[in-house]
Amino acid sequence: MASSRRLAANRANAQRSTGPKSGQGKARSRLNAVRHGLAIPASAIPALTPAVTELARQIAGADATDPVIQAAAARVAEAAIDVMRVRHARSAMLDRLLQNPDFLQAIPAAEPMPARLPPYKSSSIKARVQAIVNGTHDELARSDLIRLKQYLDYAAEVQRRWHHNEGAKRKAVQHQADWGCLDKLDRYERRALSRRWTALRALDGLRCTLPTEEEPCV
Amino acid sequence: MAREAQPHEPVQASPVADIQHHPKDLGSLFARRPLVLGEVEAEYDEFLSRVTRAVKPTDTIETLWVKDVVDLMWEAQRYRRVKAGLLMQVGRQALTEHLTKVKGAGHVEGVRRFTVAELVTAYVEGDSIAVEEVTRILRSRGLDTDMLMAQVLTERLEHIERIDRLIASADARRNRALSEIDRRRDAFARRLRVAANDVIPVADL
Repeated sequence: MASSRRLAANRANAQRSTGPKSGQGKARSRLNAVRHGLAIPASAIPALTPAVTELARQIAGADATDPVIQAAAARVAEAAIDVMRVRHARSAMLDRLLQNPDFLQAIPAAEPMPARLPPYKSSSIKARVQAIVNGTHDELARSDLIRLKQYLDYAAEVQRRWHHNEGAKRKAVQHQADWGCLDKLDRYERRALSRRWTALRALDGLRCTLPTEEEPCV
Repeated sequence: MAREAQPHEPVQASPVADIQHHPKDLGSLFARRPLVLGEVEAEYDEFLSRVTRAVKPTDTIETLWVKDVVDLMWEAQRYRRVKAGLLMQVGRQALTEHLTKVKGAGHVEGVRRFTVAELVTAYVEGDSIAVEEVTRILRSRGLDTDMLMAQVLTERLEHIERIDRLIASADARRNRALSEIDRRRDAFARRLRVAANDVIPVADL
C-alpha cells in the first residue's frame, strides 16, 4: 500500500498532467484515437465539405434548385467521396505492403525444441582422484569437456530455435494484421458502395416524381 | 445524343473534347490516380480515357460508374500481377532449392556452364540449353515443373486464396457497376421510347 506521502505526491503530479496546452498539441492529441478516419462520413470532415457540395451540385444538375433533390444529391456525393477515400486508402496500404519484402514471403514454420539432455553433472572429486591414480585423468577431463560442449551447443540451439519461433510468431501476427487491414478496407469500400447505390436509387426515385413533360419513370 | 459504339465495332479514338463528362472533372479526389509502386500514371490515364470514350457517360452519375469500372479493372489487374509475381517467385525458389541439392547442376557435357542461380534465371528466360538441363535434372528425380510447383504452392496457398478473394471482390463490384449503367440506360431508353410513341401520333396528325 502506498504511503500517504506517496499518495500526495502522485496526486500533485497528476494535477500537473493535464494534457497538451498549446493549440498545436491539442490539435494533435485530438487525433490520437484516429487510425484512418474512414468510419467518419465525408460530410463530417470540414476539409471535404467543398468537394461534397461541388459534386452534389454536378449530380443534381438542372434540378439543383429543388431542395429535396439537392439533399438527395448531397447524400450521393457524400457516399461517392467516401468510396474514393476508401479506395485511395486501400491503394496506399497495398503500396506500403508491397514494398515490404516479407509481405508475400512464406511464414517460417515453428521448429520444435531439441530433446532435453540429462542434467549436467561434472565428475566428482572422488572420480577425479581415482582417475589421477589410474592415470586416466586426461580422458576424464576430455569427456567432461565434451559433455560441457554438448550442453553449450544444446543451450545455443535452444536459444536459436526460440529466436526463430519468436520471429515466426511475430511474422504470423504481422501477416494476419496486414491482410486483416486489406480485408477491413475491402469491407469499408463495400459498405460505402452500398450506401452510394441506396442514395442513387433514392435520387432516381425522387427525380421520377418531379413534374416533367416526359412520361413517368418505368 | 451521341451514338453508342456497337459491340462489333472497334471503338474509335475520338478527341477528348468529344467527351462531355470525364471522371477527372468530378473533383480532386477523383482526379487522383489509385496507383501503387511500379504503376505508370500515363497508362492509367490512357486506360481511363479509352473507357470513357467507349462508354461516353451522359451525366455525372454515369461518370462515377465509369471511374468505378476503370479503378476496379485496374485493381483486379494489379492483383493478378501480384499473384503471377508470387507464383514466379515461389517457382524460382523451389527450383533453386532442388537444383542446389543436385551435384553437377549447371554442367553441360561435363563443362560447368551455369551456377545454380544462372541456371534458374536462364531457365526462366527460356534459354533452350538451360530448359533442357533443368528438365533432365527434374526428370532424373522423378519430377516436373508442375509437381515442383504443387509441392511449394501448399505453403503459399493462403496468400493465393486471399489474392483470389480480392480479385473476385473487385470483379464483382465492376460487374455491378456495369449492370447499374445498363439498368440506368435501359430506364432512360424506355422513357425515351414511351415519349417517342406519344410524339409520333401527334406528328401524324
